[in-house]
Amino acid sequence: MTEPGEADEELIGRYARGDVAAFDELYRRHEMRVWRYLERNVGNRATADELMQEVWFAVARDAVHYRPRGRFCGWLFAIARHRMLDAQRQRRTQRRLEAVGAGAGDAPREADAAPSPLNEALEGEQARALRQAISQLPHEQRDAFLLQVEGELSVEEVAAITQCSFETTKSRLRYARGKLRELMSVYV
Amino acid sequence: MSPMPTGHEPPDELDEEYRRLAAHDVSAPSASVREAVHAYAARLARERGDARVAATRRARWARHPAAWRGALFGTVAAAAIAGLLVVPRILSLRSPAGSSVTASAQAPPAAHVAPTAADARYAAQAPPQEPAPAVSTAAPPPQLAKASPPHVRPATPQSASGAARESVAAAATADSAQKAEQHALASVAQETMITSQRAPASAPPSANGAAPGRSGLVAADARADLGSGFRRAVERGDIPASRAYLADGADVDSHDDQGRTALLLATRAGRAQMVDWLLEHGADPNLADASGVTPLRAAEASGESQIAAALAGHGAH
Repeated sequence: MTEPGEADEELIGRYARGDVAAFDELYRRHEMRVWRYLERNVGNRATADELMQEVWFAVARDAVHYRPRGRFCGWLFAIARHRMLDAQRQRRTQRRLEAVGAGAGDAPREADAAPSPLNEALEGEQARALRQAISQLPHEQRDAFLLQVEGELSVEEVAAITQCSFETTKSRLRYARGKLRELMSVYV
Repeated sequence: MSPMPTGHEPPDELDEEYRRLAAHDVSAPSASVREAVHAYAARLARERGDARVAATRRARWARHPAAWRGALFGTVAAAAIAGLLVVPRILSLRSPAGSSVTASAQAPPAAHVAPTAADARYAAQAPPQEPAPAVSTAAPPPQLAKASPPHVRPATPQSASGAARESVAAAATADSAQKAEQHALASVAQETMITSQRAPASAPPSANGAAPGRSGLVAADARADLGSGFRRAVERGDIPASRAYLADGADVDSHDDQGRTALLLATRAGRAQMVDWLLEHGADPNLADASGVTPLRAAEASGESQIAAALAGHGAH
């Protein structure tokens, strides 16, 4: 039985001791945030689904090794980011082999070839505008911004996950927000 | 949800707007992903639970080694005791002549007549006594008393137990011989007491409740001359009595009127353990009887390969 205010760190510890309900609660809390982080970074729902599964499999596998040195969210989004970068690296290599877009700097984001009409209808105009604005951010800025807003991480935590300096991370976040404001002013 | 870390930047209005709009975002992972993740997590938890139970059991055993060690040693000790009690009885049900020579082969050479550790081992491992021959002071076991013919002693002047003392006295013309006989009687009587105290259960009781057969035999043999008594004790495989005769001056290589030594008699009787004992006590393995048969030839002729090997190992040819 999970308590509503129980900390994530306690839940992951309980799951490591065999409490499946604790894992379900963790998944419920963070499912959409991890999903948005992945989906808005890779821009492809199928790829995001694959990554989503890999991330939570890794969480379940490594729960016994989790040590609460930092917040659970930092650990969770670090896993998500590593999985995402691995997938992007593999795709980039594959594309290079196929001589498609090789050496073009930032890998172009994969967009859903044909978003379903139902999704199109359901998504609000503002939400769609925000998604488009985020998709236009440079990769590093987008990654840092999504880590912070979805993972509710501090600048220090984002810097630790992205293995960048505090100042670099802060700059990326500042540029990301500035560009989003600019883009959103067009859409909204 | 974990609390926000201290030192976090004040919430930006753009972040608030982002979260408000994200709540209206209908995109979500597919149901198959959710199911796969939950199933995987549940399976891992089950496997960890099983592993934890096994580890707990191992840790319990490791924390209390005395528990399993005590049980193990107790079982081994019980098995060893049971073996010590049962194996001699099983061996006694087999042929007494077919007793193993393993112990004797491993025994170190002993002093000529002095009781040694090897003697004690022989005494402990000696096959139970054969049915006692018909003597006045002992009776055979009930099951063998009917089948066994009356004992016929070897062709010696001292064939009757009643005349044994007189024959010995007649033969012992010197005082020293008389003293030796008295000493032998005393020591054999002592041996009888020791033997009866050592293994009261192994000696079959006589039908009339008399003393065990060997005690009576030793006493009767002691009344005969030392050599013939020694040979008879050897022939029936009685190591304690044989040791007593040697201690009282009997010659280990004494022979009867046909030239048969104790070693030859033991060989023909198939008493491998006794052969080993005699060899360790200095018996000459190459003394032949009147017809020229040596112990080695006798062993080979009767197919006693163990005895033949023991004899050859002590220089028999």
